[in-house]
Amino acid sequence: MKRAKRHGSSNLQPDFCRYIGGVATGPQFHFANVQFWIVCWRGLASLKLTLACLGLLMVLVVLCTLAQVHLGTLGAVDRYIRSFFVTAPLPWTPWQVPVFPGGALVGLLLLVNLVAAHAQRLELSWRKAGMWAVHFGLLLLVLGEFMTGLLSVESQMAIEEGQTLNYIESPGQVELEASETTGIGRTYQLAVRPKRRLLPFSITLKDFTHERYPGTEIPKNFSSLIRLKHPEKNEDRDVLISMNNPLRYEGLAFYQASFGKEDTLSVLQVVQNPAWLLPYLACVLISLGLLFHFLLRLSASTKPRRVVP
Amino acid sequence: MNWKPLSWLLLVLAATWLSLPLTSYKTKGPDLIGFGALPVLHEGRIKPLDTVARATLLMIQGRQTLAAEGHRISALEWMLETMANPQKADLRKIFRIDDPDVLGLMGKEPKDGKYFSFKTLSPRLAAISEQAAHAEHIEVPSRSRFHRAILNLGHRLMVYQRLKNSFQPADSRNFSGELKAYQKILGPGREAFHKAHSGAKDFDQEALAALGRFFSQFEFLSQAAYFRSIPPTQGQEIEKWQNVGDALLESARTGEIPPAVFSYAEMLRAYEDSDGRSFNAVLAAYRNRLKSSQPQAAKRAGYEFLFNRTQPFYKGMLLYLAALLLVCASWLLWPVPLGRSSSVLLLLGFAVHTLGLLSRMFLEGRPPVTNLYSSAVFVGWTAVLLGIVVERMTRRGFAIAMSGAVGFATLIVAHHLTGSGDTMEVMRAVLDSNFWLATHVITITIGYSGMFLAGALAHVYILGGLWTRAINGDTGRTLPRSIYGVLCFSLFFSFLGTVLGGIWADQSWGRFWGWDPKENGALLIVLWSAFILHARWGGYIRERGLAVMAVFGNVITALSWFGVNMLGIGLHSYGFMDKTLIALSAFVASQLMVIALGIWSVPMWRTLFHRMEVQ
Repeated sequence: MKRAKRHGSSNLQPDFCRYIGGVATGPQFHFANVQFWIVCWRGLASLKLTLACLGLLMVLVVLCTLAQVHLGTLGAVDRYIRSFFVTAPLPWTPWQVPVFPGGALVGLLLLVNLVAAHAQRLELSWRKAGMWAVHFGLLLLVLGEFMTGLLSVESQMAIEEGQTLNYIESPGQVELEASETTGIGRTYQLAVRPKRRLLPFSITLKDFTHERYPGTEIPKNFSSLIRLKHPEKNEDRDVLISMNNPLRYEGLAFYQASFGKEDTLSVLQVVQNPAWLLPYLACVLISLGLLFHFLLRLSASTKPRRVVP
Repeated sequence: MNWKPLSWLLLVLAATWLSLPLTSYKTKGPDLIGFGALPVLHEGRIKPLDTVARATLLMIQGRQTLAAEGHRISALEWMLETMANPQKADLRKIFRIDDPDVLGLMGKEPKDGKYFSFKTLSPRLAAISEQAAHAEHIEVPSRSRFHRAILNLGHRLMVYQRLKNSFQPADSRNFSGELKAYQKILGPGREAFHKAHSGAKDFDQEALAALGRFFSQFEFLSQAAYFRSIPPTQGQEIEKWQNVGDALLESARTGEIPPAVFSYAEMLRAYEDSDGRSFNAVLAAYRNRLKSSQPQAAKRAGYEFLFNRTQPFYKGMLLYLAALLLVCASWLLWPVPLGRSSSVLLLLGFAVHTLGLLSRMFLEGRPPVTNLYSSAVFVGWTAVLLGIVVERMTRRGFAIAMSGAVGFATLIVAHHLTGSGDTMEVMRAVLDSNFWLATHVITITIGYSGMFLAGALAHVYILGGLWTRAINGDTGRTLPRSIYGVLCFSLFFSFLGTVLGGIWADQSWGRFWGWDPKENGALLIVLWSAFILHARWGGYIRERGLAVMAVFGNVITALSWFGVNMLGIGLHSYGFMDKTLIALSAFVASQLMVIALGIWSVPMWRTLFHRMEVQ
C-alpha cells in the first residue's frame, strides 16, 4: 500500500494521461489514492468518452436494425438495446459470454458522462445556454424512455358495434375466470381468459367506419365513434377516435389499432404511460437550445466579415 | 470579356427551351393535347388520361415513350392505340422481361432481346398465369427472383388486358354502332323485362334476349375496365364516377345512357379510322360538357397534364447539370463570365424546380413530401436552396457547383423512383395526416439535404485538395467553415425530425420510440452529426477530418433513406427494390473511395505542397 502511494504521488503528472477513461494501466493503481478518483472523474467527464459512447451506440443501432430481419423488432431490441451486455454463446459450452457493451450500459455511461461534463467543464453563461438546454433536454428524453419502459402498460379493448365495455384486456397475460352454472348443487365453470382490468367508466361502440379510396382497396381512414360514460363524474358524451387522433382520458390513451368481423369490430390499443409528456418537453427544449446555439455561432462567425469588406 | 451578354443569351435560350411545351400548335390529326387532359378516376383519385398512360406504359415497358418505326410514340398515343386498335397494339414489343428463367418459360433465350409483344406472349398466357398463381401462394419473404419476376409479368399482362377493355370491349369492331343498337333496344327491352318480372306472358321475348346479350358484355366490361371514365351526370363526388361497364349496366335501370359513353366510343372509332376531324369534334363537345358538369375535375386534370408535359423536374435536372459544368469550366478559363452564367442557370433551374414542387403541392393538396419519389425531389430542392444561401455568404463558386451536383443527383434519383408509375398516389390511412407530413417528414428530409450538401462540399475539399491548389487561403478557410455550418443546420433538422417522428408514433399508436428500422436510420444520422461536431469541438479532428467525416455522413444518410426500405420490415418499408440496391452499393463504394483518398492520400495533396512552398 505504501509503495503504491509513493509511486502515485512521486510522478503524478505524467501518469494522468495513462488513466484515461478511468482505467488504470500501470502499477500506480490504488482505490485509496485521491488522485486516482480525480482521474476517474476526468475520464468520466471527458469528450473522448462521449465520442466512444456515441460510436458504440451507432454500432448497436446498426446491429439492432440488421438483426430485426431474423429476431423481429422486440427480440433485436432486447438483445442489443435493452441489455447491459450483448452476449454470444461460447463455442462447445452452454455459457453465454458478454462480447459487446449493450445499449443500456452505453446509455448509462453517456448520461453519467453528460452530467459529469456539465459539472466539470461547461460554464454557466449565456454563451453556453443553448448547450445547457440541449443536454438537459437529452437527459429528459432518455429519462422519459427509461420511465416508459418501467411504467407504461399496454392493453387492448376489442369492442363490437353496439357493445358496452368497462374493462380492458392484456393479451399477453391470462387469468382464471370462475362462473356459476345452473344445475343441481353448485357447479362452477373455469375458463382461461386474458387478464382484465376494470375501468371506472364505460365505452359503447356506436359505429366503426372503414373508408377506402373509391375504386380501390387502399384504406383512407379508420374511425370509431364511441359513447363515453362516467357516472361518478357525470360524463356522458360522444368521442370520435381515428387514425392519429387518440382519446386521452383518465390517464389512459385509446388508439385506433385494428378491426375485424367485416368492419363491425374495432380494436383499440390502450396505453397507460404517465411519462408521455416528457418527450414533448424534451423536444421543445432541445430544438430551442440548438437553434439558440447555432444562431449565436452563426452571427459570431459572420460579424467580422461585415466589418472587413 | 464582359459577362453580361453571355448570361443574358443563356437566360433567353433556356427560357425559350422551357416554354416550348406550353405553346399549342394546330395539326390536322387528332387533338391529343385535348384528349390527354380528359379526367378519369384511377387508383382513388381524379387524374388526366395522360397520367394513366404514362404510369401504365412505365409499368409495362419501364419507359414513358415507345420506339416505333423510326420515331418515338408518346404514352398517350400508345394507350389510345391500345384501346382503339388492339390488334395493332398487340404487335408492339412493350413487355420487358429480364429474368432468364421467365424467358426460359417463354421458350426464349437472352439473345432474343428483352422486349416482347403481347402477340408473342399470348400462346404462353396459360403457363404464365399458372406459375403466377403458384408464386402468389408463397409468402413474400420466401419468394425467389423467378417468383417475383413471374408475378410481375402476370400483373403487367393483366393490366394490359384491362386497359384494352377500358372504353369498349377489345374484340368489338364497331362499339359506337353497337351502342346505338343497344339504345334502340333499351326501351322495349326494359318494358319486356318489367312485364316478365310481374308474371305477364305477352312480353317481347326477342327484345329481352337482346338486352341479355348486351348485359353479359357490359358485365365483362365492368369487371375488366382499368379506370372509371364516366363522370356522374349529377353532383361532383368522386365516388360517383363509374367505369363504362357499370355506367351501361346502370343505364338498364334508369333507361338513360350517359353521353360520355358515346363520346368515348365515337372518339376511339374516329381514331381508328384516322379521322382527325370528327375525333376533334366529338372531343370538343365532350370537353364543353365537362366544363359545365365537372368544372373542378376538368381543371385539375388539365393542370396535371400541363405539369406532365412541361416536366419541370427533368428540365431542372438538366439546368443543374449545365450549371455544374459551367462552374467547373469557369475554374479553368474565364472565371467571371462563366461563373456568373452558371449562377444564372442554377437560379433558373431552381425556379423551375420550385414551380414543379408548388404545382405538385397544389395538385395533391398536400405538403411537398408524400412518398419516396417526392422526398428525392424535396431533398434536392432544399439542398440547392441551402447551397445558394452558402454561396451568398462565401462567394467562392464551390457552393454553386455542389448545389448543382446535389440538385442534379437527387433529381436523377427521383427520375428513377417513378418506377411504380403514378407519383401522386393516394396516401394510406396511417400516413394520411397533413400535419405530420408537413412537420416530421419535411424536417427529416431537410436534415437529409443538409447532410448531402455537407458531404458534397467535403468532396470539393478532398478532391480539390488532392488535385488542385485551389483549396487555399480564403477558400481553404471558408470551405471547412461552410461544411461545419451546414452540418450544424442538418443536425438541428435531423434531430427535430426524429423526435417529431417519435411524437407522431406516440399520437398514432401510443409509443414514442419503437426502434423501427426507419427510426433507427434517422437516429444514426443524428448520432453521426453529433459525433462529428463533438469531435470538432474537442479538437480531435481539424479541417480534413471534418471533410472525411462529412463524406461518411453521405453514406449514413443514403443508407437511412433507402437501405432501410430494403430490409423489408417495419412500418416504414416500401418493398424490396433490386435495382436500387445496386445503385446504393455503387454510391456507398464511391463515397468510401473518397474517404480513403481523404485519409491516406495526404502526401500527394497538391494544395498542401503549395501551402508549404508559400511558407
